[in-house]
Amino acid sequence: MKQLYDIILGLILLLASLPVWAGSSVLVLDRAFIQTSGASTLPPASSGESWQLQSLPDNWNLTRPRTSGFLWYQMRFKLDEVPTALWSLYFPSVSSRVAVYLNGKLLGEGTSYGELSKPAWQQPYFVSIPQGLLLQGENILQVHLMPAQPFPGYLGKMYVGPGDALQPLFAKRFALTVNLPQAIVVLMLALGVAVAMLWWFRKNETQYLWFAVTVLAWSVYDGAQFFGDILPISSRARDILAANGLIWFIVSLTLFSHRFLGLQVGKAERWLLVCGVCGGIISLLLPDNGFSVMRLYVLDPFLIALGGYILLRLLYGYIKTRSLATGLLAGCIILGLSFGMHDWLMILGVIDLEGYLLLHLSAPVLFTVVSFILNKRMTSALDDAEYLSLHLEDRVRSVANELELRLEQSRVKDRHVVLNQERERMMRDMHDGVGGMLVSAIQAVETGCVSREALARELRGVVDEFRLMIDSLDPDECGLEDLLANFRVRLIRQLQAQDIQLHWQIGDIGAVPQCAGSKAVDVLRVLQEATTNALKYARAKNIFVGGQYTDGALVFFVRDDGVGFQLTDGVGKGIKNMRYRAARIGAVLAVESGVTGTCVTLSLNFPQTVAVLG
Amino acid sequence: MFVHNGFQVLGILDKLQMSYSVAIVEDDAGYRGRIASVINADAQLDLVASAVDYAQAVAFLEQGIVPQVMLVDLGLPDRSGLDLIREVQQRGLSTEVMVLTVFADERHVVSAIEAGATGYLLKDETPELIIDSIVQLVRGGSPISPAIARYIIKSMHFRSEGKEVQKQAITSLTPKELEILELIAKGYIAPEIATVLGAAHNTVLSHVKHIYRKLAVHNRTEAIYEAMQQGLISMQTVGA
Repeated sequence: MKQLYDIILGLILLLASLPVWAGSSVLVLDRAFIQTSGASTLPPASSGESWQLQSLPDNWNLTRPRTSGFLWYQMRFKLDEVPTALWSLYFPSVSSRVAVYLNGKLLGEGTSYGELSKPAWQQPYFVSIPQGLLLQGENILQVHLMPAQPFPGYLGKMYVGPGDALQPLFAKRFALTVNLPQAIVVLMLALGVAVAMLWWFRKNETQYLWFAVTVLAWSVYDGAQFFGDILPISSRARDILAANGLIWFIVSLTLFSHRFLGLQVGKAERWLLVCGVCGGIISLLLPDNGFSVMRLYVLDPFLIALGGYILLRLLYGYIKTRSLATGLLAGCIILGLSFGMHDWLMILGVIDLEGYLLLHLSAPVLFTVVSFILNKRMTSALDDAEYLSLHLEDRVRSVANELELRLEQSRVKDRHVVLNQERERMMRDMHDGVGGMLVSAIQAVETGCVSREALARELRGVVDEFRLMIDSLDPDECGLEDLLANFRVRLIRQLQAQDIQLHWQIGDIGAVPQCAGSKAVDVLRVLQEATTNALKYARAKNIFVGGQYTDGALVFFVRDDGVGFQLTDGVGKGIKNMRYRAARIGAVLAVESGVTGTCVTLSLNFPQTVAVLG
Repeated sequence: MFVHNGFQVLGILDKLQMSYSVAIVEDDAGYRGRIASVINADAQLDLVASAVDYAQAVAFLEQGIVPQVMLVDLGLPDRSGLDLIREVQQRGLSTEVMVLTVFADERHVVSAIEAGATGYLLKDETPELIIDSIVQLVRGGSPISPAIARYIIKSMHFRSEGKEVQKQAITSLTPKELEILELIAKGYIAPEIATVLGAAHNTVLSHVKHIYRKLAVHNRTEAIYEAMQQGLISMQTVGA
C-alpha cells in the first residue's frame, strides 16, 4: 500500500512540478533530530547531546509506541545564498498540531482548531517563510509536535524550497485531502435530501427513508470533520455532531440493508435504534477529545463488524437470488470495508500515515450505486404501471370477452338443460293426458264404437289439455291458484253438461311459492283425474272439490256422492297415475271409497309464506 | 248470394226476420266453412260476408257491408288480424269484433281487445256455444276467462305504477268492475258472480264489455300520448 501511495505521490509531484524541478532548489528534509525535553512553547537549544537522530517519516506507533506528550524535531539545511524569491515550507502529511520555528522564529502552527487539539488528520501544511528569515549557510528548522490523544504522533518528510515550486504540490494535496471530501459532503447532503423527498411521496418505501438517513448521517459525520474550521461552532459541538452522524450512519445503514433485502428483523432493529439513541446521549456526556477515543475504539470497530454482517447478508442474498443489484451492493460494501479498514489501521498508526484516507471516497461509490439501484427499481415500477395502464383497457376487454363467452356458453348449457327438462315434462304430460286421449280416440274410431258427439267431446278434451299445458308453461310461473281458477271454469261446464252440481270448497290458500310450475300442474292433474273418474264412473249428483292451507300443510280433496268402487278390485290406471304424480311431488294420496261415494285426498307439507289473495 | 271482388256477399234482404249480421274473416277454408254452416243454421244469425284475408275484408267494408259482428282470425295471410280490428275502429263502425282463437291465450286475446275487439270465440266450441257467444256479444255481453281477467288485473296494476301523465290518461276501473275481474280470476262464472253481486247475469257480461272498451280506449290514448311525446303528432292533429 505504501508503495502505491509513493507511486501516486511521485506521479503527482512529477506531473505538477516538472517545470519546477528543472532547475529548482527544493530541499527534502528526511532526517531530523528529536528530543522531548524543553518547554512545549519555546524551541530548545539547537545543540546539545539531548538531540537524537530520527529518520522521517516518523510514526510514533512504530518508533515509540504508547508514547504521549510532545516531541521536538530539529532539521538543519544549508543555503549557498539567501534566496531572493519567496520560499516556503511544505508538510505533505502531519497529524495534529505542529508549531514550526525557523532559526528560532515561529513560522506558524499547523492547525486552525485553536487551543483544543483536533486531529487535522492528513491535511498538508504549507507556510511561507518571510523574507530575511533564511540565512546564507546553515538554517535550523524546529518542529514541535504534540499529537491529540489517542492518535499517535506522526511527522512525514518536509520540503523547503521556492513557494512557486511547492505551492502547486500543496494545492493538489489539499484538494485531494480537504476539498474533495468537502465536495463529497455537499453532494451527499444533496443526495440525502433528494432521496428523503422521494420517500416523502412514497412513504411505504421505507428503504428510501433509511437510505436518505444513511446518506445524511454520513454527510453530518464527514461535514463535522472537513468543514470544522468553517462552521461557527465549538470543537465540542463538532465532536457531538460527528459522533451522532457516525452512530446514525451505522444504525440507518443496517436498517437500509434489511429493507433492501426484504428482511424482517424487528426485534434486533428495535435494539439497534435504542443503541443509537443511547449512543447519542453518551456523546453529549463525553469529555473533551472523548469522541476520538470513542470513535477509534468503539465506533470504528463496530462499524467494521457491522459492515461484515451486512456483507454476509448481501452475499447470501446474492447466492439465493443472483440479483445484479444485490451483487453491486455487496461489491460496494466490500470496497467500503476495505477502505474503512485501511483508514482505521492508518489512524491507529499501524500502516503508513503518508497515504490518504479512503473511506470518504468509497461513500460516493456506494451511494451512487444504491441510488442507481433504487432509481432503477422505481423506473421499472413506473414502466410496469405505464405498460399496465396502456394495456389495461385491452386486458379488461379481453377478460370481459372471455367472461361473456363463458356466460354465453353457460346460458346455452342452461337453456339446453331447461329445454330438456321442459321437453321431459311436456312429454310426460302429453303421455298422461293428450297422448292417451288421442290414442283412445283413434282406437274408438277404428273400432267404430264411438258416436260423433262422443268423439267431438273427446277431441275437445284434447284441446283443453293443450290449453292446460300452455297455462303451465307461463313464464311468470303460473301458480296453483291460477290453474285452479281455469280448472274450475272448465269443470263447471263439464258438470253442467251432465247436470251435476259442483260444490267448490277451496278457500283462500294463499300463494305457496313452492307449489308453482310443474308441481302445481301435478296437483291439478290429480284433482282433474279424480273429478274425471267421478264424472265417468260414479254416477254422482254432487261433486265436492275442496282445499285449504293451514299450519304448513296443503290438503285437497275430491269427493262425490256416487256409487263408489271396491278398492280390492285392483287399482285402475287413473289411480296409478294419481299415485305416481303424488309421489313425484312428495305428496300423500289417500283414496277412500264406499257405497256413499269416493273421496280422494292429496296432502303436501309446505311452510306458510305470503298472505292470501283477494 | 253473389260473389263480388272475390268475397262472398250474401243476401241480407233475403232474410227479413230480425237477425244479427255476421261476417267471417278466416283463411282456413275448413274452419270457415264450419262457422259459416253453424251461422247459417241459426235463425238469429245472418252471414253477410266471408273473406279469406285482410284485403278482402277491407274490400267488403268499403262496399258498405257493415256487419254487426265480425269474426276475425288473428293469423291472416297478408296482414295481422289486429290490423283489421284497428281498421274497423278507425272507420268508426259499430261492428263488434270477435277474435277467433284455438287456445284463447291471454296475451293474444288482450292484444286484440286493446286493438278494439270486444270478445273472443274458441274455435273448438260447440255450435250452440258459438251461437250463444255471438248473440251475447251483440246483446251487450263479452266472454272472458280467468286467465284473461288475471292478465288485465296485472296489466292495470303495472300501468298504475307508470308516469303521472299516463295515469291521468288511463280510464281506471270502477270498484265493481275490479271486483268482477277478481272473481273471474278465481274461476267464478258469470251466473255465480251475478249471485254474489246481486245483479243479473247479463249485467256481469256487460261490465266485462265495458272493461274491454276501457282497455281499448286506454290503449289508443297511450298510443296518442307516446306519439305526441315523440313529436309524431301534435295537439292540433289530435284535435284535442
